[in-house]
Amino acid sequence: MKTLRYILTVFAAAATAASCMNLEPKDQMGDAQVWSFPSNYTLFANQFYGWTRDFQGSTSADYMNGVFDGAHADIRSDLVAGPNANPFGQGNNAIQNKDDNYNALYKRIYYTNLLLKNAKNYENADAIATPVGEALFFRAYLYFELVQLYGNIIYLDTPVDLDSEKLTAKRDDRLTVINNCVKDLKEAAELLPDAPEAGRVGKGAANALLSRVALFEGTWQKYHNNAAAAELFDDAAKAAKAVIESKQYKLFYSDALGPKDSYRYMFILENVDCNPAKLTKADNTEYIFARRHDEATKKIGANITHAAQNSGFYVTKKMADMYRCQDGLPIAKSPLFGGYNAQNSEFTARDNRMNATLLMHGQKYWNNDGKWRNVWTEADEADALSCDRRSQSGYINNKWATERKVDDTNEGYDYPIIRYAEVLLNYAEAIYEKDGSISDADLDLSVNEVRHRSNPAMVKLSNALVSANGLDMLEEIRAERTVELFMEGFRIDDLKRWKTAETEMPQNLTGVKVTDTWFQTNWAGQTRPLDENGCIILYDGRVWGQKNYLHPIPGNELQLNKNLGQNPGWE
Amino acid sequence: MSKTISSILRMALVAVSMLSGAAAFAQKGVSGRVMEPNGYGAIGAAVMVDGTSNGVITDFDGNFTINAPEGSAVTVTMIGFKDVKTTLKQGMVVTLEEDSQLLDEVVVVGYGTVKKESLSGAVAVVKEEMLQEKGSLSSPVQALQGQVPGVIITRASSAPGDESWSMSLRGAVSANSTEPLVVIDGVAYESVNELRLLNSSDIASMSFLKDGAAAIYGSRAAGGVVLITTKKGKAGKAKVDYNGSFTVKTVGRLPSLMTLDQWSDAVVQTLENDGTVGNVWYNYAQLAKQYAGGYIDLSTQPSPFGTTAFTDVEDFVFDNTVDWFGSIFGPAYSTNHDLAVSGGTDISSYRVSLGYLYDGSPLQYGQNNNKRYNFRISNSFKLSDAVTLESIVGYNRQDQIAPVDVGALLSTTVPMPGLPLFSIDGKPYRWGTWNSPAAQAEYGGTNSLAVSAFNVNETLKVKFTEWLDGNVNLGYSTSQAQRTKVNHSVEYYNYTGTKMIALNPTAANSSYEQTSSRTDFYSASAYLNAHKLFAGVHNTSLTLGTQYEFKDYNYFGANAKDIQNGLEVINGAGDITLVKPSRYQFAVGSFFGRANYDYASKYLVELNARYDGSSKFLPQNRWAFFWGSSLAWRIGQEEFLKDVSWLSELKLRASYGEVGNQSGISNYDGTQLYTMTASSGALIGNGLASIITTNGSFASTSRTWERIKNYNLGLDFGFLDGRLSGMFELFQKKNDNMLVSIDYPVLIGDSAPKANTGKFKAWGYEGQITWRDQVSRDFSYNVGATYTFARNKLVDLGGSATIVNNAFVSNREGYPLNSIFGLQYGGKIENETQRQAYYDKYYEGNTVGLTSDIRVGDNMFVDQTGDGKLTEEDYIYLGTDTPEVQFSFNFGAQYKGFDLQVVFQGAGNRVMYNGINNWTVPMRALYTNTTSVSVGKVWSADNPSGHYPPYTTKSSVNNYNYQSSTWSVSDGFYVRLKNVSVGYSLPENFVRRTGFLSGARIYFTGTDLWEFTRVLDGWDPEAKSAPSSTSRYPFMRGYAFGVNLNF
Repeated sequence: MKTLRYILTVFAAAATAASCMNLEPKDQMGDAQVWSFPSNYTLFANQFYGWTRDFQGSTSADYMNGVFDGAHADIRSDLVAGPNANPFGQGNNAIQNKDDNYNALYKRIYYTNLLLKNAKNYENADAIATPVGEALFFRAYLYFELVQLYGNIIYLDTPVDLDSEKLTAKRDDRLTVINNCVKDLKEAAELLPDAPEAGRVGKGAANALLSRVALFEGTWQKYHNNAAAAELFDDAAKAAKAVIESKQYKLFYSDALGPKDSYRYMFILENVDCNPAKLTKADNTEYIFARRHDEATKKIGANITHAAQNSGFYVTKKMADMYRCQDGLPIAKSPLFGGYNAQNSEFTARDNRMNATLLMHGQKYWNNDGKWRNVWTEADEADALSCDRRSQSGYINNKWATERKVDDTNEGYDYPIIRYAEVLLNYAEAIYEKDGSISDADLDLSVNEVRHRSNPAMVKLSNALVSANGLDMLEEIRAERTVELFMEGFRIDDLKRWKTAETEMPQNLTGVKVTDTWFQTNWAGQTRPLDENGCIILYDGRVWGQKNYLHPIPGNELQLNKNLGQNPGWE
Repeated sequence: MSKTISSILRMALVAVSMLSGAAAFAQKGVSGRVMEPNGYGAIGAAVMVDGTSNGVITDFDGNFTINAPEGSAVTVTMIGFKDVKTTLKQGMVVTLEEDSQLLDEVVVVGYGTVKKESLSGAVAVVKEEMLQEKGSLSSPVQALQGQVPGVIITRASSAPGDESWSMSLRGAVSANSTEPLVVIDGVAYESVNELRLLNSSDIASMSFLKDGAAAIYGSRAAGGVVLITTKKGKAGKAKVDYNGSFTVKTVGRLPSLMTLDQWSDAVVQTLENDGTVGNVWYNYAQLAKQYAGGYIDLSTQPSPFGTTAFTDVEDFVFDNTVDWFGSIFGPAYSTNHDLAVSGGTDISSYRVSLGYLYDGSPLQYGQNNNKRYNFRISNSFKLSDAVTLESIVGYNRQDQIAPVDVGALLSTTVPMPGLPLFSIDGKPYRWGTWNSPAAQAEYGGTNSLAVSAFNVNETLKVKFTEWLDGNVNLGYSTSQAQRTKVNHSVEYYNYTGTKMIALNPTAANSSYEQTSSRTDFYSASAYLNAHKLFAGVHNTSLTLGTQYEFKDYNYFGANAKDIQNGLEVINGAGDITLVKPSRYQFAVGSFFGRANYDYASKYLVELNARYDGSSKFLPQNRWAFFWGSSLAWRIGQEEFLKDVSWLSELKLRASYGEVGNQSGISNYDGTQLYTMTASSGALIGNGLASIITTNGSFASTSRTWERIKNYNLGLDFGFLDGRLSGMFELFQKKNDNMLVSIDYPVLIGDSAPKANTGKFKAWGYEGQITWRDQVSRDFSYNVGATYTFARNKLVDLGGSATIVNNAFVSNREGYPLNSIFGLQYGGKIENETQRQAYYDKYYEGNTVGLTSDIRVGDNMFVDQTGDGKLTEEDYIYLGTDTPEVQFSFNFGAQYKGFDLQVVFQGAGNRVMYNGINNWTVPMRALYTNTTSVSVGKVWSADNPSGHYPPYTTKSSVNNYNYQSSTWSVSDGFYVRLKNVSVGYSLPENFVRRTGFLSGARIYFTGTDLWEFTRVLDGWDPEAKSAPSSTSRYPFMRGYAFGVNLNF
């Protein structure tokens, strides 16, 4: 019977061993390993920084494309055309079964929720304040993307189980979603540091994004739903004001470069010689939140210089005409306007940003194709390209094109996700939309601040100027925004929220005026049709129905959730 | 079993009494001798006076002296022999008779054994004889193919060491894999493939638990269970067995490629068909005709193409003696040697075995072979009358080597004939950018695998009382596998061998990669077994036990570039990278039991159950209960049939069981897993951010084991004293919670886990019938057949979208797994009128690839739905790639010392579709060679019975013609002469005269000698559909000569 005891002992041992089955993963981390250390919250949050807009963020999840064709890119608006008609710009995009934007955004929202859910169970909240703030910031950023693209969407503030009712729920109203974004951003502003590490979001970024989100939705509600949106405009204005009053950011300006070139070189600033003043990114006081690049460690990876100058972007006449003259007036009203007749007559007495962005005929320029600037003195001009406007639309873009010697795709300038100028313009627009008017003091604080960085001599926008010349204050504020933020991915969203897309977008995209101008006699190769004003028609036949204000919900998701419902006009 | 135990007990008693009284009875009483049938003295036989405790044990020569009067009734017993009842007589000689019945009757089932007559489940048993004298076996299952009812065995290749033998018991039970669980001496093994490391001659028996009887293995029994028992020593004089064989292997079925002449004609024909005779290959083909057997060396002669084409080549070679594919594969040999020593006393017994296998490759270039070394020692030691300790220590080693670039030889892109494998002086040849794959295989480096596995298995058996015993088993195995891939730079030359053209790969890209994995496995089990007979008719037994198993796997490696030729250690001056390491652990804990009851051996009931917990699941989903029960009625034992002389056995069986499957579930299911990647994120601060991400899969908190319901109905019969015997089984298996991938809205975030929402059904039947007869003392024979039919159906994919597709579709709702769909062939387009009519009718809106390029001679397909359109709706089910039928016939005869065994094996209900590639579509690409099956069989107005459409290189036409259809698929039915074995056992008295031999046998075994097949393109009917990589090794015919010696 002694042996029986042994046997029983073995049974007991086996039974004990059998309960030893809580095995932890070995070559990957489990929840417990990840969420018990503050440093891991930071490492997890680090991935969020790969989800923002960039020059070309992703060819599939194209909401990330700030310059190249994507959901927000200007090439889908009325300011820029491409070598081929853009289906979104033409208004003939189709319903997709699978939509990478929709998938990527929800997937990423899940990750922010995953961090936030685990953060709730972590006892030392102070130690993880920054990654939590980042998660809130990015959750708002991503939901804002979803709302901009699809309107009403299902809002989840925590990861859901597979049996969750949310998976078959109806969509939440966009305003509910935006209110949650506003809440998240306010909370993020509290949690995030004032002076974050380079490349990270801080309090300023949270407030700046808040001003963008609240202004977007405020105008949407106002113009689409006739709804009062005072609270959103107030939020937008206050958030912008908080950024302004923090005095942390300044419009980029260098005396050495001067007004015109300060604006131009800011966009191609690198940590090597890329401008005559030898400024580097450290001198950039304007970018509140940027997708950072570096020739060595994180090159842009897309052929940005060539795309910008040659192949990719045909600037429209509408864009060129948007630049005001030095008297602060639109070309239609300004006596200073030089007309279209000569090679470069339309550039006369215009907003300096026009020539900072568009090349004049015969202007010296460089690209990274063998004609690059080496010594950053006048000597470089001997070895430069000379602009010939007789191609594309006749307006040759130069924004985002580097001048220094660098291989294609290796450029290393940052993409401004949010820059201070936008915040100032958000402020002006929010105040005006809220109050129906704006004081000269507020204009000086915002619109004129932006305008005068590039144009110190230009007549200020003021209530007096508006009334004296029969201008529309709102139109002037909007034009300033359009001009300043050209090619940064704002225009199409602005047209949507202003509900002016239906008038702006169906217009033909046109190029330079040919009839009776220098082009008529000097551009033999130009055989494209001309409109009634003698301008090149780049694309016609554009339509914009009410449905085009939103993207369609992808077909697969409709199959999986019958309650989702398609967006109006796409059923 | 109880008989064996009682004899052991009796012997033990005798031994004890003899030891205690030895002095008192010395040299008195009656003497005699006990002999084994082979004429040797039987050591350790017990001679006992009936009805007393008076007994003795024979000495080393079989002699005994017992203190009892002459004429006393005595019983002589010895393990493995029948008891002999006789009367004492001075000088008596008792010759024992081997009790083969005894071994036959006991069947190993999970955690114990039962008498075969008491079996109520579907259990097939294979004994050692079936594994013997088969030549070199790359895996024990090789010897069983088609011959065990319900056991479906397939192979993927004949590449040495990469045969990938797979086994399923009665086919699939889920869309997820369900291999049978392999248990060797009570310890579970990783997979069927691991059996390749086992020496077949160490196996004593294999039991296949096919139905609910497997439920005692619970969660891993979905695919059935294979129990392997290895050989143990027997009490008796030391015995030495040697078994050696030498096998010559020749290439079996192999497609043949076009000769230079056939190819040139075909190129000309193709280009004329296409109206593109301006193509350079037209001229090339003409040149091939003109220069057949010769070559043009461009260093001495101008290029016939000037500077218009082939500007990167050094020569044009038209060697019409090269048989490209045929010369890559050729004869090989293999050999194996086994040596076993066994013996023992009544206290302890042992068996030590050594095995060696060398298996050569049909591949004629590069190093390619597989070697296996086995060492196994088992011993059993009686610690006391009631306690026995059994130990098994095994060591297996496998050394396999293959060319690292073997894939280059096994591609469907074989260049046109005429190109040589090597230069005139035997150097690696290169033509343009094309390297001779034979040279790549020969000089490009090796891919070698060294597996070293060690296992220990300790079993403590305790007999507490007459009716209660216990068993504790501890198993440990550790295996280390190291793979080394060396990629050398090779210098390539022109045909004359005078000019080095290229170094490929470049020195900077030469590489040395070594990876190593280590697997540790621990198993501990213990069970109690009670058995008692009440009132002479109520036979009951109960087994209860517990088990814990734990596995730990660890893998890592490194790759270095720019290496030194000749160094046999990882080295490199270039980049050194880490091969992604991997590590996981896995544990299963279980409680199990079995209860048996039979009434007078007539009515049998068995219940077995297992409660399993797996570390793969979250604690709340971890444990599950599985069970099985069976009933049997031995009709033959009923009074009214007991005296029917022609009926020896008639048993009706029925069983039901629920078993589990956890394949398709990862090791840490339910746990969200994360990966850290250094410096891979956005630019933050001064560098790229390191990031932690999830592994991309959503953790499931709700899913659980697949549960398979197993129904079985069986009949065992034996007539005419067992001369005619057999069995028949009907089975059905249902899996109502199959794990399938489900589409969820993307809101959930990461990719969704599989869920238990699918349904699967399998059913079939199997049978075996054997006639054996002892015609005379010298002559006996047997004939038999087995047949297995297993069909399955994916009943419900749980709402996942079913995509209508042609060709091979692994998972389609409503059809068997691995089905093939396609169009129905409607004949050839015979003339222009017909072409126009067919085109006009079906071209518009067709989605089957009907092209405007369609020609006279191309295929027509049938509009099944009759809707006037050819679309995917017209696809029909053509069959399944997995054979539904397996069968075999066997014949055996013994005359005096001679014996003969013949086995035919086959499979049916299979459809093979080899896809669209350069081998299935003749002349698809001009610059490649293709199989010669189409030669003379191309349709034309003059040859209207031609099977193949006129040659073309237009992919639109080829893709249309050769798509999956009743025309392009092959019937996979085959019958194969699997095994012919002739043996001769030398007469005993002749053998004995050598003075050291006790038995000798020589034999010849032929394997896979002949087959009947309907496969069209020359491939082996057993081969995988659309073979690629090593599955393109041809299967071999084997001629083995062997000897079997006993000392």
